[in-house]
Amino acid sequence: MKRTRKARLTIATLVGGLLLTACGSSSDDSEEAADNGPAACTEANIGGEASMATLSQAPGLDPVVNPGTGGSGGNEVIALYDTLVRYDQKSDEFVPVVAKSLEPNADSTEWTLKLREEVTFGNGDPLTAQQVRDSFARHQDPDNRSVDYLASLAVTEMDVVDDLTLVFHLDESWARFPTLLANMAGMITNSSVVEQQGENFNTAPTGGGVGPYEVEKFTPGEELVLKAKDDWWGGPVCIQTLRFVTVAGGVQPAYDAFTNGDIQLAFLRGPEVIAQAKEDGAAGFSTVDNAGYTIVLNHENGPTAEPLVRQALAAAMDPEVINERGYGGKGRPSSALIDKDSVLYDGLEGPKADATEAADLVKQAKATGWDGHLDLPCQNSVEANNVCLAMKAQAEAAGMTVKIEPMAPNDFITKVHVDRDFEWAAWSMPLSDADPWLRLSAAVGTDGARNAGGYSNAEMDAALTALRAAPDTAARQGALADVQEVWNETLPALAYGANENYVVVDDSIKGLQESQYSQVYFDTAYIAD
Amino acid sequence: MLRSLGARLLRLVPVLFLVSLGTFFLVDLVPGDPAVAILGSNATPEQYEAVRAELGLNESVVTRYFDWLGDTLRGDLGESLTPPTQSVTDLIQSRLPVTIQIATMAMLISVTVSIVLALAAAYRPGKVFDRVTSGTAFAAIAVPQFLTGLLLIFFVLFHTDLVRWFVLVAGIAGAVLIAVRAVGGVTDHPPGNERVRAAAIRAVLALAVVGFAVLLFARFPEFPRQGFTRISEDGLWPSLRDAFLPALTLAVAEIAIFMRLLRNDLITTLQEDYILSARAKGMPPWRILVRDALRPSSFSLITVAGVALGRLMGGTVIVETIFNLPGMGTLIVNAIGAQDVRVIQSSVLVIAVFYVLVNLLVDLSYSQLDPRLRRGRV
Amino acid sequence: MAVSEPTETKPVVQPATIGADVAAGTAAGASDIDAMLPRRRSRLLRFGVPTAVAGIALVVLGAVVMTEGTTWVRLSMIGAGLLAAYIGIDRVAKAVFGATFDTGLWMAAGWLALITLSAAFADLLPLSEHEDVSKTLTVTPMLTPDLLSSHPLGTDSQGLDVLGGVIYGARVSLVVGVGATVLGMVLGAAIGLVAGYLRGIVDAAVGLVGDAMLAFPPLILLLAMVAVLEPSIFNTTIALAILTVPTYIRLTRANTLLFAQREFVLAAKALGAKNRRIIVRELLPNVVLPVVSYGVIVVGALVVAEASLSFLGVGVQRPTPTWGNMIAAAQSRFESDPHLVFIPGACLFLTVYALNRVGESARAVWDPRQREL
Repeated sequence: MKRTRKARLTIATLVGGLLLTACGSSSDDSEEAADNGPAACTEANIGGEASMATLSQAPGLDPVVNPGTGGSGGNEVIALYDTLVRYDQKSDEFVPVVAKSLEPNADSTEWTLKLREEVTFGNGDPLTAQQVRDSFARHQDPDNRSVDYLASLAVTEMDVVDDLTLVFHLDESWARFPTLLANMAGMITNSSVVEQQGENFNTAPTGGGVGPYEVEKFTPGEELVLKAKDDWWGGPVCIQTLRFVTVAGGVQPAYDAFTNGDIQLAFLRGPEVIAQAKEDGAAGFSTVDNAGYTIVLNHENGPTAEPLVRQALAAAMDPEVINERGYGGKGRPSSALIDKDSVLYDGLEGPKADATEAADLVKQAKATGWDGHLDLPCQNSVEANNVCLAMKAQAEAAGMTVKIEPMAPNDFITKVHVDRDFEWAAWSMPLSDADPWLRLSAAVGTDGARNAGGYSNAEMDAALTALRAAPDTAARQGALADVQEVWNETLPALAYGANENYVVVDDSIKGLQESQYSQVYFDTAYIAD
Repeated sequence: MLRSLGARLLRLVPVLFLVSLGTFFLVDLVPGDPAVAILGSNATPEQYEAVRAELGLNESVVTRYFDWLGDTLRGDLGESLTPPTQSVTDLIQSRLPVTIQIATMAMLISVTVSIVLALAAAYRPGKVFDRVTSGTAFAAIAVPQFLTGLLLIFFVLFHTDLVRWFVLVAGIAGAVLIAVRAVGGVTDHPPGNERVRAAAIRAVLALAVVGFAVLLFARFPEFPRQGFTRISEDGLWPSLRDAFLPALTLAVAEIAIFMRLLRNDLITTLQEDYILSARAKGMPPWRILVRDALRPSSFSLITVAGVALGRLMGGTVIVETIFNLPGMGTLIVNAIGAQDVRVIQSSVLVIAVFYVLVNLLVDLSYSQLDPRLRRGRV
Repeated sequence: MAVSEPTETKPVVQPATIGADVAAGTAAGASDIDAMLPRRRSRLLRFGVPTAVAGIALVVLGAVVMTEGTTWVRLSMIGAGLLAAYIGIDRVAKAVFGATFDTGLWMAAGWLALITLSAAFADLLPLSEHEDVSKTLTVTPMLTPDLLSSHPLGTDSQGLDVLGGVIYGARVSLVVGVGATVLGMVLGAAIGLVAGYLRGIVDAAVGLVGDAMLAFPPLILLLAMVAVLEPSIFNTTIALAILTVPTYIRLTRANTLLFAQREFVLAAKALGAKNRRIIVRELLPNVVLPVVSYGVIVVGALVVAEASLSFLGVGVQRPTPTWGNMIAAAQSRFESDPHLVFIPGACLFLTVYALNRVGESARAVWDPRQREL
């Protein structure tokens, strides 16, 4: 197994495709000749099991608790609940999964959801519009603290038209509303099971979802084992057992475990390990988060509240240097909001780095009485430390002094996000191609949920509203140009690169589908012999 | 004997009390707000306050300590704080056996290997084999555990062929050496049956070494990079295979310590009168070594191994982290990372109590085993 | 975990673990070549000199000449060269200084002297920048070692000099290791002396606290302490010192018990000397040597403990270099740039090895309980 895996890795790779299909044959004679096989699971392919390494452990299996991104519990809950719709990266459109259709009115303020007739929960209950309504309302309850809480407030009313039809009324026009129903809010939980299980629903949601799998065993901190439903409404489920583990020590050990054959899928983040995986020829799915690597600046307090200091930092931080020192030169450095390979890319540029100008600006800022000192809170991992060191190096080269404050990830989040007691910090603002508005408005919109810097600007808010309503790709590109312009002028944060996530997949596993936020669907996956 | 046992058990009470006190207050001092650890970053100030009240964080430290101690004594370790919440008792019940298994395997590996090496070294003290193993042992003690782990992963998992060939070559070389010795060394034995038997034993030994090396070369086990299969899940062999590299990482330093200890004791024992007289009678040296010298020389080894077993229970943090094993070490490290105070307190307490009890057992068996000490302890 | 090693949980037996085999080994080795004749000596020289020269040549070839070769080939050449050089030098030294000359011990002492001196006078050495990242923005990161360049051992991901990092890292390791040992020794020895001399209730209380402290797994205790304190050189030193106190209490107490019944102490008591005077004047001088000689081994264990903390990411943080955090930072690049792990790893190994070696020889000479065995 191990040696054949290594041989397979020499096979060419297929990146970013919708379906993983088998590739050319290897020189190793243990490998069969090229055979693309069926695109999805069929009765003939039922059997086998697969293990996947995730980035961090799922804090729970209830969609209102789970953070939902592919590396931190999203794939697990998708296998349990499925989503109403799914984002198709290739066509840049949303396609129905559990839903039959999802159609907007002319100005995208009303969305009509039609359900399939045959869909049932694990406990046999049929999926109804009322169930969808109840399930969605759980995300709107502030006590549940769902990741989709603020976004779900866009829905002001839900009308149950008939058993299979539900109309969402929105507060304002939102052209990419389906992004919400492709995420946590689109995972329908059975209200009677939720009620019956009470607090246990988060660890034992058996019967409560319409996805292809049920929980077999959940030992938090160790592993989650899912078992295929044998009478799933969507057809046969091929891979009988799915196992999710979190490998301690980060992505390199996870990738090592993958090449060693311990696991068949691994969620990778971090340019160097992804570059290594691609070099090794490991097949997989790639998703790029635009502006996934940013530096958040405090606009309310401290030296960074001064525009001059922010401009100095913008001039001092060269994305190329951070890439070289933090990511071994393997990242996607850019100060722009949108990555070059994105469907939304339209030649936008971010602020330019210029060391001489930075030194000059620092001098000016010091002339106003600033001592030139900045504290830099930093997570105590090797990767975070390298980025912080590169930030410190460039800031100090421009004449500032920087003190790195190392801390545990939890304390880091508390300091930056909860207490907002920081000056600048490496932070993440991953914007999906599916709907960049959602996280952009949370990060830099006035009173946004993830606006740690306390940035507030009327022009930015207007540009964001336009982005939300933009009906097609060209309109979104235009709106993003306005956002970038205000961004470059007011510097709410500094982007220094796009973040790539890469899900490496063993060649034997086929029929996977992917969505936004590196989420993977096992619905039609199977193991080829 | 019974009286000393009673005294020892009595002494445990204040020690365990101090241990519980230490655990509670040390963990209580750890900065960070448990409410933030529980609710994460999406809660309101009122929600944080509600959780603090629910946890009783607003009570005085003394009240909280005695509440905790009372619950713990009743066997109720409570629920973990950070989501997903689960019973701490269940958590520890599922984690402790993993750590025990790894520590025990490490101990078995070290004792077996060290006995073989020590016998071979003591057979001809001061000769090449003795000096090389003694030197290597001294060096092995100085290699930090995390480096041993990294190197083992690097070679055994990612340069498997190198290791396989090394095993094959080393096995054949060892067998040749034994065979050569067999030819040269038989003259140590009196002619006749003894000599034939000695030669036969060595021939079998050489064959066994070659056979083992070839078997390993041909069917080298596929060790996992990470993870663990419990015996209850998938049977004995997958579990032993998964735990082997972590156990070996732990064992390397222990082998060195045990081997040096036993070798010295063996050499001392070999100077004793009854051994000298056995030699004078013309008994073959191997038989003297194994039959007459090993047993009396192994008391201190057994004791030290017992103490080491207790120590290893809490010393698996690094290997568990490197190999991603679901044992007590990773439980505690992750709980410290997540600031899950309740899990840290209970699991550290369990480990400490375990250590104290193992030490007690070792102490008792020690005074039973060693005839020199049965007469009176220093 | 090496932290607790060697614990003094079994005063009667444990010392034998580390015990007298240096003496036994060298004695056995010595008797072997005791009756050395001039002919034998010249044979040793004839074998030793070429082996040593070949070994050194191999090291030079691997380290300096073959800068283009793959790291693994170079590393194995250096390793084989060092081994050959050691064997050769050992033979030559035995031929020159006599058969009982312990080359390994002298080399260990030499390494300790080298590492201490270079750490102490690091500021005077012509090293490239090892810590200030703002000065290395123009330096190419991840340079491979080239002994003749300004970065003899290469650079790391931040363009920092690896040789400088190793030498300044030695400073951190030694300051932490020696500092914590001295601190723990002073505290532990004081408590142990008093407890061992006074006996009674004080002794019992000290014993209980010591037992309770030893019940905690050392690394976990360290992790908890480091979580309470912020990771800095000072705090790490304090945490490690606390860790060693109970061991020193036991060791000192056991040694005190040994001397407390001796004639000179009883005589002083009979002459009406005060307790304090007896402890300081009579007991301390006798107890100090075994305690200090054991301390050398503790320094080694603490150097490893500090590195382990840094490896787990909770010790002293970069850019302040330590051997542990250098290894941790480079471990994900182990395959492509093994030297970044091996160089600090080798320093760590050699230093701990040397400390153990020197410490054991010291104990064999100075620890009365060792001598008895």
